[in-house]
Amino acid sequence: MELAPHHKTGLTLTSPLIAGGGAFGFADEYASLVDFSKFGAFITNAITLKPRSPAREQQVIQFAGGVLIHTGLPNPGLSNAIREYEKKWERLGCPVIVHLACDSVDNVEVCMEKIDRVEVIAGVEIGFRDEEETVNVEAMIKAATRIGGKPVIVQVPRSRASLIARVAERSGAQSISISLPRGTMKHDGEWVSGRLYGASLLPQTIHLVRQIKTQTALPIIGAGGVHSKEDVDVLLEAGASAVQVDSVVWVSPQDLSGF
Amino acid sequence: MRQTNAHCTLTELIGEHIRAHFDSDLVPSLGQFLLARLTPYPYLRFPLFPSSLSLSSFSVDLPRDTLLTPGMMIDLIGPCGAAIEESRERERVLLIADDSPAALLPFASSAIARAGAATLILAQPYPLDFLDPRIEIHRGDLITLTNELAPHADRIFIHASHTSPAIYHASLITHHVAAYTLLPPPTPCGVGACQACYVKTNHGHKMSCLDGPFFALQSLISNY
Repeated sequence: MELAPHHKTGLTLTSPLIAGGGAFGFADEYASLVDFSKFGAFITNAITLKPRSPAREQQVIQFAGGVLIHTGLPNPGLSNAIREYEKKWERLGCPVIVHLACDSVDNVEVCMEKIDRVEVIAGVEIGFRDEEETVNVEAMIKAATRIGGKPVIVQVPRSRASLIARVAERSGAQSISISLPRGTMKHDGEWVSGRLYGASLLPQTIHLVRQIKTQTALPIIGAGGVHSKEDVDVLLEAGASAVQVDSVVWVSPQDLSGF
Repeated sequence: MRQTNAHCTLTELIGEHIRAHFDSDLVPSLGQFLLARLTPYPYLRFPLFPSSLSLSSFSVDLPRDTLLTPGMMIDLIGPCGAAIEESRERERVLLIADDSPAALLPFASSAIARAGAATLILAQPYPLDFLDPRIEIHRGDLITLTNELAPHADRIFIHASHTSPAIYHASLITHHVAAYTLLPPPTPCGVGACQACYVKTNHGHKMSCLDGPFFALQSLISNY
């Protein structure tokens, strides 16, 4: 399938299954447990222009429906990441999509220029803070699609999925992916916010894929709560062009071979 | 790093824990751990810090309510973390535990197997029948005993569940003894992918699942 049908390079996947969502790391962390050649693509953990330290109080909180993780999105920064992982990306066995966590047009421009020089990067997924103003999101997407020659996937926040999907389409993005939701729990007397993972997300993901499909013609990557081949199939049936797996790899890396 | 199954051969009640024995082709080295699927929650695997190790088996102390019976197979990923080098010479190890000492016991076995000696400071009750009788046991105030016994040790291993390792820091720095503390990670992945188990050290942030779970106390000085 093709995630960037109107882009000059395209973004062709040999399988609709994508590894990502902040669960698989930056490169080959799972290479000893998972065969990456089975994936249509690999999306890296979030990378920012400048290096980011881990959150002071990282948290991993289980609940009946999954797990909440607060990490602070630690990463080495884009230049260091390219230096550290470029060779590993070349050996991974599937197309590599860098997930850029963006907070300004300037950052996006600098990042896209750097990424454009790295041949092994097949595309860019850009994500924003859930509360980022729509006008800023639009400006960042336009900057990402204007600069460089890589296909751009826009990760839409769940709370404004249809709106941002329409913004992405008119701003020149090639495809849409769905972000993992944020949540808050009380842990040791403190409120902790972070990303949510778990099979309980699947019905909402299916709902969003069907909803976004009515709003845009762009290819959609269904993401969140995918834990079986049946989940993949139902998301494809709902209208997704590709499906991201994430925390299921923590459950059983081996089982991914049956997807 | 592999994913495999281990066969539970025996469970024994040890105070508030059960000690489970496994036959396995995946056995961690000294200081490493495994990730097992034991709990009803699907996400987080349970970190197993062995209480004894051999070439094809290990045992581990688990919470008493763990649903595990002999004959069961459990799914494992590992080995996780960095191995602690076994001493090539006779050494005296001091183990300090403010709760169960189980995760520290392989260091005692290793020292004793090389004709060395092991001393254990216990803050909580623990069934002594389940400890190697060659381990010298001390009970009482952890700090007082640490100050008294640390000068006689070559290496010290700490598992502080209820107290901060920081309380040992001043004492151990004074005695210039190599000391390691267990910082059990919250571990969704165990391979360094999820970025959720960082520990701040003097040499930058390190991942407990790759660089730990035992950290040199000296390297944590900036935390204290």
